[in-house]
Amino acid sequence: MQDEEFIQGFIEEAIGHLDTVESEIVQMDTAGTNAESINNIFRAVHSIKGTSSFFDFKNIVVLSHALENVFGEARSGKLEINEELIDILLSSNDCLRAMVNDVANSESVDISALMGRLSRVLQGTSSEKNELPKASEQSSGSFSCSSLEWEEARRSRIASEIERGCRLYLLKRRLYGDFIGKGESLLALLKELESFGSVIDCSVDLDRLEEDIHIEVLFTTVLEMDILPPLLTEPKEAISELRIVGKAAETQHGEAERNVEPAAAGYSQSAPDEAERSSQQSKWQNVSVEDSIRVNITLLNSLLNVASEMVLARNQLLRTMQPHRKAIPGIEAILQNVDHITTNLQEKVMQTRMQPVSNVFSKFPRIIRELAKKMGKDIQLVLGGSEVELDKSIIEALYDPLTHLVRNSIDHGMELPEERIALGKPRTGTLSLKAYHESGYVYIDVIDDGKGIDLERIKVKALENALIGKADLTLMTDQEVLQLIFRPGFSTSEKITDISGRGVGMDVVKTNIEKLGGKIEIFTVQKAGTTIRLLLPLTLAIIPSLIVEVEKQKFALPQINIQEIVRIKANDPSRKIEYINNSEVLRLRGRLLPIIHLADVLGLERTYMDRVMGVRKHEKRKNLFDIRRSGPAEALESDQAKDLEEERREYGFGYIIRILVIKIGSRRLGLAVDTIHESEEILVKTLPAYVKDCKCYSGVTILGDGKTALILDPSGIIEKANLHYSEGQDEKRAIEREQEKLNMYEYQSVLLFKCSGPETLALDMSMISRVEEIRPDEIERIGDKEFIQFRGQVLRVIRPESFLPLNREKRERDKYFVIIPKLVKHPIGILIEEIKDTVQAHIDIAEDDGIKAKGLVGSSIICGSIVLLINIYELFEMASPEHYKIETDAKLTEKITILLAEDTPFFQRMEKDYFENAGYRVIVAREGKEALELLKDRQIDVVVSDINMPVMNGLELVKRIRSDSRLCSLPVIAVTSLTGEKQKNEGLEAGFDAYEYKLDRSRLLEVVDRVIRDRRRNV
Amino acid sequence: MKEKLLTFFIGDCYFGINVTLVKEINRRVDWTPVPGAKPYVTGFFNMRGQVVTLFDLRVVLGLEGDRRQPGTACIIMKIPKDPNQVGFLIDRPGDVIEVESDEFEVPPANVGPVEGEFINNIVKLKEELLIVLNTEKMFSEHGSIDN
Repeated sequence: MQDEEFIQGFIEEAIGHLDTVESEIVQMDTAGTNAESINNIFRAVHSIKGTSSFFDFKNIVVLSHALENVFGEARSGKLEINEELIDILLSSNDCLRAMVNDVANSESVDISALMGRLSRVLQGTSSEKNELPKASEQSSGSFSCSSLEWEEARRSRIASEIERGCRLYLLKRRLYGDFIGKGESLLALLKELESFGSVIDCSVDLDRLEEDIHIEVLFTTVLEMDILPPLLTEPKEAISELRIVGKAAETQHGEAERNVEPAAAGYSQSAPDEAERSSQQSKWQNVSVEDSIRVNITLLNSLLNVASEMVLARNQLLRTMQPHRKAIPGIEAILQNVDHITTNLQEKVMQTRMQPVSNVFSKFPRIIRELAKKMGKDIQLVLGGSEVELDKSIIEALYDPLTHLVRNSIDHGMELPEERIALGKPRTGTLSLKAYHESGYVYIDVIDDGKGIDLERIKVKALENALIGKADLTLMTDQEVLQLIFRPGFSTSEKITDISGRGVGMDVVKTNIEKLGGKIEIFTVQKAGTTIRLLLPLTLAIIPSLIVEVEKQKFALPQINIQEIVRIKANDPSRKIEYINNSEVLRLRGRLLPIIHLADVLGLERTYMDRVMGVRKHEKRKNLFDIRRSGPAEALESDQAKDLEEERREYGFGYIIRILVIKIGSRRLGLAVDTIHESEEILVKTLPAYVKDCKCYSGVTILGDGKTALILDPSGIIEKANLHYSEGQDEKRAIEREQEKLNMYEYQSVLLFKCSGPETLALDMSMISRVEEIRPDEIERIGDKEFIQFRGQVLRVIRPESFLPLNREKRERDKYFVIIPKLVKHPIGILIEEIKDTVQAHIDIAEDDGIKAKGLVGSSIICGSIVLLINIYELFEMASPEHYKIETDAKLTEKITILLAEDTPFFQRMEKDYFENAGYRVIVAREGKEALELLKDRQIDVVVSDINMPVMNGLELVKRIRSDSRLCSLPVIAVTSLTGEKQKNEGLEAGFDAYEYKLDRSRLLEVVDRVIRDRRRNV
Repeated sequence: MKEKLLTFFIGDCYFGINVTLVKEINRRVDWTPVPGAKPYVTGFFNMRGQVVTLFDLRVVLGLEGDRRQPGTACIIMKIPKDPNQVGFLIDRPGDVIEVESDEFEVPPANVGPVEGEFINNIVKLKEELLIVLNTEKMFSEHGSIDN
């Protein structure tokens, strides 16, 4: 009976129950008691008691029994659950958990103290309930059904079974006498019962433990009483039918069952209870529909491996069959099918490892409660995005770092209640844990509204602990100072508590998060709070990477580190590599970027293809663009216009150089490679121990072509390349950053693409979440609409040519692309046929070009050709008016004039459209000064301003407005494409009423509306 | 006591290893070099989804000859406790031969200590001498050096 496997099953199940109990108890503490949660706890404790008694874990049985009693009392309203009781309950739960985790030694655990406390609690209530077990003892000769006493839900389940025409039976057996003694298994019996009915409950009659363990199995089946004994090979007397007639239950023997009666009385309860019961009933049905089984994790892992191999095999098959696709009839369809199924299989297998973040989050209510109590702080916890899923291994590895961050926030960040009140903050501090998806990663924010991180204290501590020299410190920016807390041996806590402040931790947190392939960021505002943000990959095993090539060898570079890709042509004077001694640097938006050749770091010999000789030669030039005086270079000069593509192939990086801009923390470098291949979702395998000394790699993967490739580790590369990021180098960082922003402003990045017609369309990159490649057979038609499956969800796709005045051509393509938009409430994919390029360009929108139509912002000339800029919101509005039509109150909006200060013509046009369509009158200013002039002599109701503008920026503008007595109450809203807490707070401090993302139309309109109303109310 | 040995050639040398230690022999291996790794690591090889580290025995044993010459086949070892799969390139596989235990002889005194370290025995075959390698020592030692 003491079978390892069964016990393991029991432990897993019991831990699940204990988790339920814990979270419910903690919830009770904050949200007060309710019948539902008491029932949940009761059920959980009861199950633990039931199962543990099978294995004869007496201590667990005794303690869970006592807990059960307490909750029984609480349920019947005889016991009030207060703070003190919750403490006792939590420690009992901990004790149970400890025993369950180490069942073998559970008998040696001393539970007498806890039992004493629990029984004192119980003695406080009337003792009549305690007599109940005795009652069942008296009636032990007959069939008593103690399990029926229990929870409502089980009863309603019985009710539903009976409604379906099932009968309710009770089977009573002795564990040793009837099963173990005879070499039979209870499990087999239960399985048999499940095969033709359902087992409602299986419990142990605890009051008759002396001679043998008496087991009661309550089950329902449609079978008649007569055929059960022979079918189950159990004696007739052992089975009895329980009948629920109207208000009372009787056994078939006609004896009025004392113990069943009170339970059954529940069926006659009044109407409100009826509703509650039916809701519980549906809950139970939900539970029974969602079948799940336990699977060993190693099995899942090997399944994952097999699935990945399957993908590789599929790729090889497709490649090998490519030339024969036409020759073998029917093979095309088969290959497509195999392709599809394999992709599906891999996705499904990956899904099996995904778990909701709530698995970690659920531990925090308890932690917060205890820490808050210990430190005399008043803290409420807000959880968000608990449903966001991450790979199991990541979820598990998150617990410690998150706990540490939460502890730090409470210990260092949160003020004491009195301090908070003195500061004019609400007495109760708020700590939020939020998980959400963003650009292919999962973000987890730990946000507190405490006092923020004191930079001066960090500096002092860093000096005290000799982490950094004084000279360096003066040169550091705020963000860099913040990064100091991740240094080993750093602690700012005044006194070392057992909660935090031991100086181990933040560095460990950082290492752990980085080990998972993630990043950590801190934002803090003095007196307002701190946000610590974790960026995590969805799965540990699979990361999106860019495949790059040097010297004929492919490497994978994780995309999280890549900021941008720069392509430099040899004869482009505006962008060229320059030299400082022998080091190569690139001017990138006003800053110098160190350039490292991947080949050099890896110790590969750089070669180039000698056109004359037709062989690869050792690259001797230091300067990549040194013109070679001999043949090839001259040949190139004269042939230049000939065929760029061919040239590229032959000369490798010699004439076009590709630089990956990599950013780790505040360190940036340009990594020069020969070729950039596609991006691939790669399966990460650990680096074999034999090459662990290579700093440049973080793992190995197997590419689509079946070859292994090494995964590059950018921080290792920085180390290997001996890059010294001196702090002084960043002296002008802040100014430069500002400049960079401005530059980014003038230049917009847009995606250029084509639909079926010849027109080139453009969409601003900031509106695109991602672009997916799909095959035509993935597009499914339902009615007159088209849909695809995207990440397990149905996504409607639209063809822009159906709504916009574009040419349409009927043409079969073997692949399409779908643009997945960002920041829209009801995502619709945009189906396009060809991606032309992504460009950074200054976009001037042509006026009076005659192309203006709904759904288009206008036209512009990009790279010498006419490009139509799409207005994504208008397009969606045409495609799906029910979701995108903005209803505005015409009466409210028509008399309102908005002054829009915006320098980028594209956004200017776009935002103007938003507002005009909503009915507002719009006056446009190109920058702050112009806006101020306009404010002097025009009647303006609202100002919507960009932040970064030439001449006078938005912050300056709002400060001027606020300091002008005539304008100071004018609503001013900031719109920007840079969203960050820090900027936002800066903006709000400067005097903006709201701070919004400029491309989120519905939100922008909402905010404008709200701000106007607010201001009116105040006036 | 008879022992079965898998024989193979690297360059002109004739080697043998206990056949029970061998997982499989792969022909036409498509391996990827690891720039920056120790010279005795030839590269990685994808064996049905598992990454195998290939060693260069020419370096390990200090053999003469061009190391760049790609081997034609590789032997993958069975190392029960090690999660890292290892193998090495060979030029040409030989036969599996049975050898009586009395045919084994310890390496003679003039075999250098470095190379000798990884040589278990020498088998005096009729035509030639067969060097029996101690692969376990070879791989575990190199693994530990790196750690």
